[in-house]
Amino acid sequence: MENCMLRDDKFMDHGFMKREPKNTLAREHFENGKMNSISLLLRSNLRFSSIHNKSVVAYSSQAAKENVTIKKKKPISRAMRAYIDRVKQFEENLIVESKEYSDGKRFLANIMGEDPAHFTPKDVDKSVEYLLPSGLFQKLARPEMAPPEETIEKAKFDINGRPFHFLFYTGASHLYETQFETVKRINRAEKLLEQIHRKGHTPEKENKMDLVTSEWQDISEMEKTINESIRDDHFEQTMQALERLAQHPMSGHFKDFLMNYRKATTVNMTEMVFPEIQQDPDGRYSVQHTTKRKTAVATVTIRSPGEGKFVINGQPGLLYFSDVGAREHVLFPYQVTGLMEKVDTEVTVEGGGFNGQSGAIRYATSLCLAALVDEQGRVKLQLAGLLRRDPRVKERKKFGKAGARRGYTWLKR
Amino acid sequence: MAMALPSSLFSFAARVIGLRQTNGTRWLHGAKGTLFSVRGAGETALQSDQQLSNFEDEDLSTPDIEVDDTLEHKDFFGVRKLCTPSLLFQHKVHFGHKATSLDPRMRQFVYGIRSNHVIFDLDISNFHLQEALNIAAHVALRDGIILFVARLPHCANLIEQTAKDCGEYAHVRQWKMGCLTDISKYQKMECRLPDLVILPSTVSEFGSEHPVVAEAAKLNIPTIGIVDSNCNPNMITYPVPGNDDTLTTIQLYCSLFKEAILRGKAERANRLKLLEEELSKDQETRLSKLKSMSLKLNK
Repeated sequence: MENCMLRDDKFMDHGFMKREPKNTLAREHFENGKMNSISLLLRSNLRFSSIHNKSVVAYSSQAAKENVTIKKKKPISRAMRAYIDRVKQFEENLIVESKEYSDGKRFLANIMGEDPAHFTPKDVDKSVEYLLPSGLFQKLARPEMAPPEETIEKAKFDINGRPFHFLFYTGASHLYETQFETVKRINRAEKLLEQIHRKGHTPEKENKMDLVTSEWQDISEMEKTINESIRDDHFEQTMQALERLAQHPMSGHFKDFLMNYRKATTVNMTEMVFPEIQQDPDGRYSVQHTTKRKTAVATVTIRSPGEGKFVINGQPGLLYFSDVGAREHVLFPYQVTGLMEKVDTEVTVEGGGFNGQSGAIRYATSLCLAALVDEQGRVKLQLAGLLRRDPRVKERKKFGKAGARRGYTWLKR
Repeated sequence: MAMALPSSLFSFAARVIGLRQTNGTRWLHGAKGTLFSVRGAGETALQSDQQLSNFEDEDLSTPDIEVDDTLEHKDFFGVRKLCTPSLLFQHKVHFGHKATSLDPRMRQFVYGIRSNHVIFDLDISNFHLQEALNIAAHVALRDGIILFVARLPHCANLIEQTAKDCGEYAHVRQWKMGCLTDISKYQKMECRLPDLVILPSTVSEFGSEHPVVAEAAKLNIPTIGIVDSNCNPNMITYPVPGNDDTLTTIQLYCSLFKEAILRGKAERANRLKLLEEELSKDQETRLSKLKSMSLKLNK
């Protein structure tokens, strides 16, 4: 152990390795004996002391403190003056521009014959579109009027020219900050997991974040969130980091952070409109709804309570469909809500093939059942993707092609 | 001259003298009366006092603190007491790379070779680290912008956190050429350049020298760099020989520089407070004088 710091004889011969300890502490040891000092340095049971635990001598000596002189410093460098000028100019510009905007808004309101006090930015857009109609395709090329706070870029430095953001010099400060914050949380999550493992437990499922009810924002939404344009490769990097945090067993602790970059998959139920429930003369509740899928149109009437009777176009049961997939399609909403044998169903369907018809029936049934069940049942239906109209239709045939895309068989001439 | 000396004398002291004569240090240790300047906030050392007077503008003058007295003190912030050879040894600063990759320009800092690995002389490393810490504290006192640059994926978060904690700046991501030399184009606006670049490792991701070293040298921005045995210390203003890729070592550097910068900033805040007090006193006396004058006029 003690030999490991001894010099190689080779280097001694070359002579570039001669040294004397300059440090006073080291010199003391040197005088006591070199071997001793080395063994001191190399003691294997050395504790790794943190530098903050070291007692630190007061850093500015009293003599130096007494000499503190305070003066008004006059000279200012060219660069500094440029910053100050720019900041001043920016502030002046903003005042002028905002005055112009409010004047223009009042003028517009007068032209349109409306009250200037209650003229909103939306009204401004409308009136500009009306007064200056433009045939230009690109929306950015059309005339517009916006408040200066939106169009003028905000200053990124303070009056001394110091940038506000600690990653300013990277050029993509907010994106890199997101990555920085994510990695910090991953490290923290690892520590939490380690604590649990050390106790001999395994992390509970509740510690992991529920990733079903929300999904990641796409690149344009992310740009709005962090208020910065993002390159594709940078976005991928960031998503990788975020995904790693989200998949971590302890991700539930960082839900608030992750939800900044996620959006809810469930639409607000209060906004959705469900078919009305009516009461029949026999005392049963009934719901009726008509929906489409491809070219099929289905009208479904559900009566509750019932015995699970099923009639499609006058045919009992699911015999109307010979295709097994179509039968499963139709039964899926009942399986989700658990109302399989608790309601009676009557269906009239026309147009389309068996796939379109079964899809139309499924959608109409789901909406009717959603009207009958409670909030929890609706969420189940939504998560199963049943409360959404399937917008896909057959793609038209193109000329020069056998179908929509398929080419004719190539014949050698 | 150095060639004529026996190699044993081409040692520590001689190197220190050599270091003091480099461009970056000349205006700090040089003739008395030369301002320690901070780019952007102050003036460059090349500007003489006459040139300075040309820039004077009564309207733009802002009160600022006087800090020249700190330069006469050898260790004003006490940062030299923060690191000792034994501390560096505990944090494995002495471990270099393989002996085959030893750069001949790093020979001066090497203690020996063990198991085909370079071992640094920690007395030398300690001296250079103390010097670097002192400079960092002085730049912080003068409100200089300090930029931490490195390309160490396993320490990136740590370095960014350090920069954030001490209110400074970090760039540990992919370096685009011209990030400093062509900053107005890169940032799409004119902005202040950093006044000090601290490199916990001077190696880029490809194993070559980090491009910031050349860019800072071109712009005369002083650099503090931890140079390992395979690096070139010549382009760095304040090279610190030492291990540059072990986590504990980087942690040590980060905590030391953070402490030094925070001490500089604390001193600055202290002096600004004193200045404010003095200014308010001035105003009070001026107001009282005005009052008495108006009273006299009324009589």
